[in-house]
Amino acid sequence: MNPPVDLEQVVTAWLGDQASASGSDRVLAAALGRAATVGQERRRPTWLQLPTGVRARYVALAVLIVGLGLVFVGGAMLAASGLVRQPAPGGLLYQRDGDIVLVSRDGTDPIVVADGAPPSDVDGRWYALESWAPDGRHFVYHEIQSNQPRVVTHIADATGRSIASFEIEPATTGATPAPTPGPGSERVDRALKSKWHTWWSPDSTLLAVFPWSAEVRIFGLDGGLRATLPLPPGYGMWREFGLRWAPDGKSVFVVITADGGSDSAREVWQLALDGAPPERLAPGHALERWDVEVSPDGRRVAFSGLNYPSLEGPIYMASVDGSDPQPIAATSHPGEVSSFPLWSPDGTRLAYMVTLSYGGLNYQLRVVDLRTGTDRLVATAWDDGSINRAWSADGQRLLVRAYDVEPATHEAPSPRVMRKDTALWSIGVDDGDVRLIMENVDAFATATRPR
Amino acid sequence: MRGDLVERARNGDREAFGQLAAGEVDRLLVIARLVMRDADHADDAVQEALIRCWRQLPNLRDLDRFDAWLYRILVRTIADEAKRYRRSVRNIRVIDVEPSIDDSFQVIADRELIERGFDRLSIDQRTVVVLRHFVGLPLIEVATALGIPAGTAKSRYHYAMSALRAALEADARPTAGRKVVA
Repeated sequence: MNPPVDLEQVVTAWLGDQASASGSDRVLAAALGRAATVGQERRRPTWLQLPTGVRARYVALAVLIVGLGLVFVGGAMLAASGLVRQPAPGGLLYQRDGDIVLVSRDGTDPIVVADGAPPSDVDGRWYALESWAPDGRHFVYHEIQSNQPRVVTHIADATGRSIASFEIEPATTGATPAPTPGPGSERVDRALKSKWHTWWSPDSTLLAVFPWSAEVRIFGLDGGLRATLPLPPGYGMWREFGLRWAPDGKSVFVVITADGGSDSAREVWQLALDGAPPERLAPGHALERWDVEVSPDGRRVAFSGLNYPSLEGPIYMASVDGSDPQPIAATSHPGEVSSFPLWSPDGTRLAYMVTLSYGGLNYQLRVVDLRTGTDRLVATAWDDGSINRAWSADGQRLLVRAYDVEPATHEAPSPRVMRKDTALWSIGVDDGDVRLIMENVDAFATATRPR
Repeated sequence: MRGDLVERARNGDREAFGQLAAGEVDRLLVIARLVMRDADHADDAVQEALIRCWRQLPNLRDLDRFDAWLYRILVRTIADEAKRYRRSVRNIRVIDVEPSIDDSFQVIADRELIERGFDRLSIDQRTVVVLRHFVGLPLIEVATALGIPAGTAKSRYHYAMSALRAALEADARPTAGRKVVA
């Protein structure tokens, strides 16, 4: 076996070797030549600088907007009176161009929950979608001001009304110093610009938040801080992080990595809400661990394993304490890497991805039935790398955000003209039925057990 | 000095923009070539990015954010350019680089494998890797530069590095006779 390779060092060195700016004079000259023929896009002139005719048009537009606003208010009053349909609890949420939109599960009755600036506006305020509570009665999203180190997290009810909000200051007590310089040297103050990751408790009443610090914080539906759960010293601040609530809601499992340790040496720790010391559940073993996902019942983990010395990486399953890791044979596909397992709501099936060796990011979406060992290709997706997938609450369909999806009849993606933006797709797990739900979607969320 | 150039260019001073562009073009070109893996398309993308920069500069409100703003323009231009040749993106190499004299066989082999793995990544993933490891931006700032949530930047990075690791670890297989360029 070869000694471990410092991947980041190798990549950095390789990129440095590849770097070339030869011919930049020619590019610069061409650019400046073209720029000399075009003007700049100036900001709009002030009101008084506008020609009278233009001002009149703006006045007309304002009247129109006021009229539409009155119509909207009227509509809202009708909605409040129950005469107009509202999205059902646990409807589909999606993020598009900085907005958060709520629609019913059938894609109808859209409500713009938060109207943000598009990503191209570097100074604008925009909104980032997080997740539904499992019962579909509340959801959480973030308000981000691009040019300010400030993130406000909102908890909204099922109609999209924000009922509570909170901001998180970065933790410093017990925080592991950031390794500097080099990879992983993000500073806490910079982390403020990021949105926090959140996870709902099984009973949908608590929200676990990982603010890129040395602790997990637990918030209530009223936005109040309920508990602070420190990570074990020396773990997890600057690496991949995963969290799953224990089924009884009294603790959380976190998937973390020791600072300075191998990027792939994932460990599972249990953090109790009652303040008990963190407990390490998964001792390291020979397998590489990626994408560790704790099962819905909290008893098992599924993870991607790159099994030495062969490249083939099936999905592995082990007890949550890390013991008895076993490859799921049906998920082994010679020459390809299986990754990103995703438990079905009832824990009987795993959806996972098999990366394909083609240009761009294409993967097979496959599902293995853990009761029968049956593995099947569900669809082939063209992704942008964000890997936004979810099971439907009934476990019958998979929702995927991707540029394109082809049904399972194609073993490999076929050349095609790609759509410009990623869209939301729904795929029948058993029948391979592929439906385009919505175009131009940046992120989406569903409730797992809507009531 | 540079801030002054940005401000003057923003106010329509073409000479200042020329100086500003001259100072940026090498960096943009390197990034574009690394991400696109095709020198001609990268040159086109940088040319277009500089023109967009000129046109849109008056709308830059915070001069201190010029770098992030310019990265975003470049990345969007690269994406637009890439869509025009998406189907032919594979099997293209940009630059043949002679290995350094003191490179060991293993290092050379690793770099070959990295190159193969890198070519398989999507444009979006390559962008994150280049901004992270070549430009040296923390992932949070990569996300800011790309105008995407930090979580998305992280997952793109994670996926890309997983793929590159997989490419490297293919070498761990006992496949005798794999060629190493000396």
